[in-house]
Amino acid sequence: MSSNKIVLTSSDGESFEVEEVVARKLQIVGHMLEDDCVINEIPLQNVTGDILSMVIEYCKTHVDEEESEEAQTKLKTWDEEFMKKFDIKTLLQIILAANYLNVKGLLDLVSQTIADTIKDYTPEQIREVFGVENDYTEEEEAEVRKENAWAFDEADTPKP
Amino acid sequence: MMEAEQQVVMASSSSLRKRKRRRMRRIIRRRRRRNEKRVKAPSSLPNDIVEEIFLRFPVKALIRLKSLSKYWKSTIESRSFEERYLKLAKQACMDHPKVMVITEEDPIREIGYRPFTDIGFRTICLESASLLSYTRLNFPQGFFHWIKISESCDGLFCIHSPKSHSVYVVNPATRWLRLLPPAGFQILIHKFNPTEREWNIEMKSIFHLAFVKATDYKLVWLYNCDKYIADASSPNVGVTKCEVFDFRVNAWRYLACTPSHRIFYDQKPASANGSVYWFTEPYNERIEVVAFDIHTETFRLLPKINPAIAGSDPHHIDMCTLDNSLCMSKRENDTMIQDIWRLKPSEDTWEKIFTIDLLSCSSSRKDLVEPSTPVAVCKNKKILLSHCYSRGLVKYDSLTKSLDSFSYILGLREKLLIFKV
Repeated sequence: MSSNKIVLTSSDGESFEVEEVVARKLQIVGHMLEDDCVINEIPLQNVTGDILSMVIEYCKTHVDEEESEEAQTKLKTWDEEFMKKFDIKTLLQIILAANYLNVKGLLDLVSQTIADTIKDYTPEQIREVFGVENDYTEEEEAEVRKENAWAFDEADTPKP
Repeated sequence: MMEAEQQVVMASSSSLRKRKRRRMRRIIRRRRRRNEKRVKAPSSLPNDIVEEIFLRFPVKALIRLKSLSKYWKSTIESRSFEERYLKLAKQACMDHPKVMVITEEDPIREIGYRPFTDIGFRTICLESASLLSYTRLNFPQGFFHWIKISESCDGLFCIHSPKSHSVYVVNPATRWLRLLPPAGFQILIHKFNPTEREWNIEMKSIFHLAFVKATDYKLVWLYNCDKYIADASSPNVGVTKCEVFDFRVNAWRYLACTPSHRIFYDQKPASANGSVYWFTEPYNERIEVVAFDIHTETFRLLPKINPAIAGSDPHHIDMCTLDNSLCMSKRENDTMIQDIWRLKPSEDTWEKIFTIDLLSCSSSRKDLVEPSTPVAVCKNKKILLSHCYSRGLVKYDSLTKSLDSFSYILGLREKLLIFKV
C-alpha cells in the first residue's frame, strides 16, 4: 500500500507525485481515498503549487511519527528550521492551506509560529495583518483600553 | 510693528515648513501602509483560523486583542474560548514545565505591621531557569504577614490568612482577583480570640485548603474539630469538619460526612486523579491517607500505603503531585537519603521514581544538601526541590547526581513560596 503513488494537482496546474502514506497526511485526501479507492490523481483547487510543495515537504518529514524522545526532539528541531524559512505573508498562506487540506500538525505549528511572531504587534498592526475592521467608536476603544490598561503598559513587563 | 511683521513672516514660513513636513510624513505613512498591506492575509483569513492563532498568544498580549473589535472582544471573553485556551496552555505546560514563585513584596522590616499586602507572582521556565512573567498585585484586605496559598488550579490560586478573615482567589496572569466570604473556620478561630502563644504553640490547625475543579471550581477545607473551632451552628460533632466553597452560590457549606481520623496538621493537601489527599495523624504508629472524591464529595481511606511511608513520622513526609500523580517523599535526616514514590492511577502500586543520596551528591554549595520538598519534575530525569524554610529552589539531576541552586540563578533571595503551574 505504501508504494502506491498519488498525484496531487494544485490550483495553478502544478502536479506532485507522492506516496500514498504522505498524501494521507492531508486528511482531505484521506477522506477522498476512503470514499473511492481507485483515485490516483487529486485536484486541490484552493492551494497553489508553491504552497502545496511546502505542505508536502512537511508531510514527508512527519510521515512516520515515532514515539521515542530522540525522534521527537529531532522533528521539533526540523520544525523550527522549517518555519524560519517563511515570512509572515507565506505563513498566512500556509495556514490557510493547512486548514483546507486538514493537516492538524502543520496547523498547530504554523499557528504557534505566527502567534510568536506577532504577539508584540500593536492592535493596529494586528488589525492590518488579519484585515480586522475596527467597529469601535473612539470612546468605546478608549474605554476597552482603559479597562485593560496594564496589558498595554510596556514598562510593567520587566524585572524580577 | 516691524517685529510683529517679522514674526508673522517667520510664523508663516515655519507653518509652511510644518505643512511640508506633514506632507512628507503623510507620504511616508502611505508608503509604509502600502508595505504593510503586502503583509495582509492572502484572502483575509476566516475567523476560525485567526482564532486558532490568537489561542496561542500569551495572556497579556491576548488581553490587548480585546481592543481589535467588538467581535474579538466577545470571542476572547467567551467561555468556549477560555476552555480551549486553558487546554492548550496545559499542553504547553507539559512540554515546557513552569513554576510560580510567590513572594510578599513588602517585608515587615520596611513597613511595619500592616494589613494590606503586595504580592509578587513570577512565572519561571524550568528548563532555562528564565523569568517568563512578573506581576505584582495588591490585596486590600491583607494577610497580616501570614500568608497561606493553595496549590494552583488552572493557574488560579487561593490566598488567605489565619490572622484575618480574608480569602482571595487570584489569577496572576490576568490580574483578576476576588474576595470571598470567610470560611466558618476563619470566623470561629477569631471568635476564640487566640493569644500570641496559642497561635504559635498550642494551635495546631490545618491552615491549608485545596483548590480543585469538578464541573466547577471549588475550595475544600478539611480540619480537625478542636476546642477553638467548636460552635453550635456547625453541624457535626465528629472528629473532623469539612467546608466546601461553591463559586456559583458564593458561599461555604459544611459536608455532613467527614473522616473519623484526625488529620495531620502540618501538611498541604495534594490533588490528583479527581481526588484530594491528606495524611492522618499516626494511629498505633501508622499513618493513613484520606482521599476525597471531588465529584461525589465523599471520603475514603486509601487502601494501600507504602510501608516505608505508613510507619514514618508525618513530619518527615511530603505529599505532592508530580506529573498528575500522587507522590510521597520521605526525608531521612539521619542518612540524608530522600526517596520519592509515585502512586499508580490503579492505586495498587507505589513505584519509586527517585532516590536522592544527598551526601554523595556533588553540589556547588554545601548548604544545598538538605532534604527538601519535591515541586516539579523536569525533563531528562531532573527534579526541582524546595527547601521548607527559605533556602529556595534546588534542582537535582539524577543522571549526574548533582544539586544546583535554582533560585540563586534567578537572583531571588527572599523567602519563596513555590508552586507547580
